Formats: sequence, C-alpha cells, structure tokens
Amino acid sequence: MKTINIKTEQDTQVFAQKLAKSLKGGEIIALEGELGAGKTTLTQYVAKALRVKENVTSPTFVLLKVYEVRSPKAEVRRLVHVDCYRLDDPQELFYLGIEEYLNKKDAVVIIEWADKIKAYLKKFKKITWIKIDIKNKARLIKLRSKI
Amino acid sequence: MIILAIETSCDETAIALLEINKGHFKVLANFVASQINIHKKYGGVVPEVAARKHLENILPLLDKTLKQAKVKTSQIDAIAVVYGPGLITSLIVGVETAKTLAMVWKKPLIPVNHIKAHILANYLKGESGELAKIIYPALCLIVSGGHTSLVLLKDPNNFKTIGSTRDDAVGEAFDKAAKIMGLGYPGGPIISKYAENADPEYFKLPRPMIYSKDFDFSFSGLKTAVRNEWDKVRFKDAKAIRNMCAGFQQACVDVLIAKTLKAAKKFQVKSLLLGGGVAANRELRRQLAAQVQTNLPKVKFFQPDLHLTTDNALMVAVAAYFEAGNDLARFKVNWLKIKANPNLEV
Repeated sequence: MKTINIKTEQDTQVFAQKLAKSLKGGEIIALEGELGAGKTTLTQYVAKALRVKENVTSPTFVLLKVYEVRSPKAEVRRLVHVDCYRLDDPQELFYLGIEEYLNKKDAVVIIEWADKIKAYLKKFKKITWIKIDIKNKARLIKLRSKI
Repeated sequence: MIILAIETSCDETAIALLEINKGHFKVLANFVASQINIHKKYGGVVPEVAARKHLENILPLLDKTLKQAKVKTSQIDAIAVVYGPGLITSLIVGVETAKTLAMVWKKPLIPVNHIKAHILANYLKGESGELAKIIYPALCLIVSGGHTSLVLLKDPNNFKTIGSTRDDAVGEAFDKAAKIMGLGYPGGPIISKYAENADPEYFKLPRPMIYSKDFDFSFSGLKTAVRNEWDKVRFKDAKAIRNMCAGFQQACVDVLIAKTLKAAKKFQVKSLLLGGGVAANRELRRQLAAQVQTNLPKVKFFQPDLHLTTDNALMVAVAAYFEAGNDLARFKVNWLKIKANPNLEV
C-alpha cells in the first residue's frame, strides 16, 4: 500500500496527473472516502489530465456518466464516471450498462463510493483502490492496486 | 387539445392528462407514483432498481389516469414523453411505453426535454385557467437534485444554458449537508424545516463563486465547509443543528440569487422563472421574489406551484403543447426515431 500526503489542492492535481499518466486502458479506479474527502475533485483532475473537454460534474443523481477522452498516447477513448452514493443495488449499475466499460481496453472507469459495491467488483481485474482520509484541511491518500 | 404525458427520467414515474387550448388549460388527471403509494394499492414489493420500479408503476398509473379523467383513447390528441436527460434505464421505460401507445392508438408522439418541462411548468397555475403571461426574453433558474443552471429563453421553444454547476447540484448539496449532520433524507425539506427561526450567521460558511464573472455555480466547497465546521462543533445539540441548517441554506440562496440577478440584468430579461425540486424551498422563493421586486421592479417573477416543482408529467404536457405549436402533424411520422437520450442538453 502506498500513502500520499495531500496538503493543497495542487498536490491532488499532481497526484491525479501521475495517475492519469499510468493508465493504459481497462483500469478501474475504486474511490473510497467520506463526504467532502475529494473523490470528485480527484476525478476532475484525472479527467483534465486525460484531456476530457467537458466539465466533470458530480454523477450522484445520474449514477453513471461517460466522457470522451482525447488523450493521444494511450488507447483510452472513454472515461466512465460512476457514483454509488445513491445506489442500493449493484444490479442498477448493471442495467445502466456498466459492464460495457469495466475492464474494456478503450475505457477507464472511476467509481466513487466503490466500497458500496465491493462484492460486485470482485470479479473484475486491474482495480486500484484509493481511499481518501480527511485530516482537518489536509488529506491522506492510501492506494492499493490489484493488477 | 388533450395531451397524455409520461415522465420516467429519474426516480419518479408520472403520468398526466392535460386539456389545453389557445391560452387556456384544464388538468384532467395528474399522478405521480411515489405520492399515491402505488405499490400498496396494486400489491407487490417495492423494487429497488429504478427501471424495475418504472416498469411496475407505469401501466397501473396509466390506467388510473385514464379512469380519473374519464377520457377515452379516441379523445387524446397527442402523447408526450420525456426522452432526456436522465437515467438511461429509467428513460427507456417511458419512451418505449409511449412509442407503443402511439403506434397502437395511432397518435402523434411529442418528445420532451425534461429541463424544458421544468421551466415551462411556470405556465400552469392551479387546476385550470389561463396560461401564465410570461413575457420574453425570460431567464429560468433550474435547481434540483441533479441540475443547477441558468437558462435563457427567447420564446417557449428557444433555450440556451448560460451557466451551470461545476460540481454538485444544489439539491444534491442539501442532501449531502443533511447527511453530514446526521439528518434524514431527502435533505431539502428537512434542512428547510430546521432552518426556520434559526440564526444563519452563527456559522461562517463560504459563498462559492459568488463574485466570479460567469454564471456558473459550485456547491462542493460549501459541502466541505459544512463538514469542517460541523466537525468542530462540540455540542451538536438541536440549536447547533438548526443554526447550521440555516447557515447552509442561506449560503445556497445567496449564491443562487446573486448569479440569477446578475444574469437577469445582463440579458435584460422581462420575466424571471424558477424551476426544479429546490424551487419548492421557501426561503429561495421568498428571498428571490423580494430581491426581484427591489432590484428589478420591471421584471415579472414566476414560481411554479409546489406540486409542479418536483418531477411530474403535467409540466411535460405543457412543454409538449409548445413543442407542437401549430404543427402537430409532424409528430405523427417521426416517432419511431425517438430514442432515450440521457445526456440531452438545453
């Protein structure tokens, strides 16, 4: 497990850029953290690093949003942003078509509140679990990968 | 003309029948599944998955609507359905049901944008009467769980979004702030109730982006501020809860009003409208109305009847009426092409 100290939002941006650079396609980034920890903020910076043009907003109500990726280097064509905050049943995600994107070469899926669907995610590969802990105004990121 | 309208874009299944002619309207039936506890009535378990909920609700609701209105299929002039934006699996239930009805009953099918429907809900006051006299150009502040934006209208069919949230929608912010304080769901009505007669200045909360030159919003920073302040509170008693609710609510109202007035002035609008679930918030309604009267006395302010702020099908019917205009015939042929579009924009 790796830990990263985040003192300012710029630190989050730097971390997001490194994370984005490491993506080759097919990865799943599972985010855990309390309300206000910075899950969506991290996702926004990753999206920016992947050159997603649109504003990445909170998918709490729509559950799943797909963005086009313009990053020329990798095969990643889509960033899929999922939010399990309002989810009671992982089946809902299945019906929304999430399996069209999970572990698919041309997509990267970032899931907020992924701890809610831990059991469902067990059957997938290339998952990186990122937990963001709140330490007053700072954050502590704990990262574990399963490649 | 009598329009049968269907709404299944997110969590709510709604069907309505509206009679509307040359500036006059009459509500023949208006049903929203969650409010009539349809599962209890028709028996059965409440499904968790939204699409399944819609599937189970839609036909009994349709039945109830037609019976209540005492309207025969032959009397219906058109069918209207929300085709986006929303959750794809929810939208599909309404869209495919509407297409099937259009085909079997041989009626024109009018596709409606959910956001436009929220905006045009302002035309309906009461159960019957004249359509509201909205003068254009108009500006609408759309505030709900899933949306927060400012939309400029040249006429009932010409819309342009001039600003929106960069992160959380304000309704979502209310839900999450309530969660942080350990209050129930939905957060909006709960926070609004606790905030009554409390002190909005007690806790110092930010007004994100209130001075930015654009017409965008941001509520995630406010959410974090609530969390930071709440964590510091040693005695989280009723007084603290009420003051935090009041503070949070006022912070939201302040940014919403500031940007709305700024936009209204810049675009020299003649009417200001409110729409979406958070349009039911008493303080937002009261303060915005007062601010418009003071700062923009020539601008007419409209706010939807409370039951038309949350998702419903009546607003879909009136939006369809404007969509159809004088040319209902063109909706007779293209209905096969109508597809649910979860990312539809205004």
